[in-house]
Amino acid sequence: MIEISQLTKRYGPIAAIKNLNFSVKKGEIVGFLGPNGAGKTTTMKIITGFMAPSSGLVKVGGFDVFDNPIEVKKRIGYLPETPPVYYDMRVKDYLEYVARLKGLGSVDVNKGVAKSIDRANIGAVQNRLIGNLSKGFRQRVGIAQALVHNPDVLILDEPTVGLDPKQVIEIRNLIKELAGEHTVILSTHILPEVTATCQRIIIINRGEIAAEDTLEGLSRRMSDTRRVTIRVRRGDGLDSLRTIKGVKNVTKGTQPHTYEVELDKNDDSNEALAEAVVKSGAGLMELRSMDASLEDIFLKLTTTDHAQGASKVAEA
Amino acid sequence: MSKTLIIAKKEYKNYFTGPVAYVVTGLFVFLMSWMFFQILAAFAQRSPMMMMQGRGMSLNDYVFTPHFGNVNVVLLIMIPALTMRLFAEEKKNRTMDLLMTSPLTATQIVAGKFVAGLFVVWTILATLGIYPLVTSLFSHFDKGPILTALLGLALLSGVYVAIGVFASSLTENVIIAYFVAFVLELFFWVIGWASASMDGATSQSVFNYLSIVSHFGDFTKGMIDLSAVIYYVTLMFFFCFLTQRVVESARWR
Repeated sequence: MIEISQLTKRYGPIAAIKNLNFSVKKGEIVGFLGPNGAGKTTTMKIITGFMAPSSGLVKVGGFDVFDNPIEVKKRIGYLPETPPVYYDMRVKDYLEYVARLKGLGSVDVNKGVAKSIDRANIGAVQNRLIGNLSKGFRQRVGIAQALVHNPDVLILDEPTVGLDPKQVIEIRNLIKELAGEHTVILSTHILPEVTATCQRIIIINRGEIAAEDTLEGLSRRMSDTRRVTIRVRRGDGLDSLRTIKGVKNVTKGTQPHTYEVELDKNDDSNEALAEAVVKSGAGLMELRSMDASLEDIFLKLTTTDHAQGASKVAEA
Repeated sequence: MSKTLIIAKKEYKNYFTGPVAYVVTGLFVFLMSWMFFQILAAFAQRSPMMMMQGRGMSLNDYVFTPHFGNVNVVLLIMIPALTMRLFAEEKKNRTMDLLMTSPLTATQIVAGKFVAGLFVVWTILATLGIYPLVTSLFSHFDKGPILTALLGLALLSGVYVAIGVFASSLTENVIIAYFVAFVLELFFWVIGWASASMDGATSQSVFNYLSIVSHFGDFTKGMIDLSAVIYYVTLMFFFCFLTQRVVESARWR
């Protein structure tokens, strides 16, 4: 659905993105992840035809963004960082205006507006002035605006910013519902969001792709060890755990009476570990698996110190 | 519905959903009525005296011509205020993103904004019909020059709107947009002054031709000079074209 090759954008001497290559299949939800200033928004703006790249090629639904911008724009729904809403318009009038701009006929306008109001759950405020709405509602109007012409491709720049936790869950569910029928690219720096919604992740750092894989694939690639946290009632003498098969290392945790145990990735030695702790009489309180979280992956890939490690991972 | 019309309709309605159009129209009518009444009163005072000297004064020359001149000055100040937000506000509120990522060409966006601005100004200008209508209740005068003067104002205001739209596209600051438009308009007024300091007959006539006011004089005398119409329409297209280039160039920055 979306093909990007050798995409570069320079602002003067500074390259915001360098030689990006990736493609997104129809119906996929792809998370675009990266620290601030990594080039997420720039990439999205280029895909939507808002901005021209310095070099490279972008195709959406088979149409080149530069040769055929009108065809591409018909197929894209875009929610920028700031929802592009007019404060002096009413929600419904605004959505009708957007639907017409996107080229819907008058019958489709009404259908599209009704459906997007329903999907973004803004029926209660549809006759109010957008300027009088809270930030969360404005954000949802922004989402409705992106959906109103039922586009093949949705590009959402930080879609859940400013929403309350319940709304965040609603929007995430909505995005998940869109999969299959629509192709979605969403950018975020909220990591659980990616875990909750995306099938594939592209981590971008300093204008380059640092990693691209499914969430499981990334976690698997990131470490060949597994970590387990143990909390006990008393005692310090847990060094003996080192002798258990599969245990690589035991270190004291940051909290009192906690230990972090590193295990072989595929060795399920939790049982032996628990047994050993109980036998030692330390009083087992808690035994918890610590999967390499997305946070760890993200930090590892995007922190300067690990820049070398990141490129190795990307190769692996 | 054509995309240009969709934008034009939305922008036009926008003037009337808020207080802008009502406040501007109301104050415009107030100001013009005051000015018109003063001119009319002065005319009424002087007219009998001139009659006795055997030199009759016509309402057209002594009331309507200066009145339309006043309208022109007020438009010069008023129109930039009406057009300043057309692009500047879209940029500031980031709603330009919506227009730029919708299946629209830059030409459609600019044409839509220009048409909306033009129709708002023409709506306000329609109130100028009051003065000849009321005057015709108790006096006789030539209606032709009134109609041509209104046509002249309609064309002239088109030039002001085009300049205003252009100025608005340059910045996201409405004050800058206003001032750039005002200065550009004023410059096209006074560009004709250069003809006084020129020696050659050709350069004199060139500067005279470039001035927007020199063309307006013919309209108030009841003449429709084709070269003036062409001049005004050319200026409108020219500034709309410049705006189109500015909007299009946003992609390449």
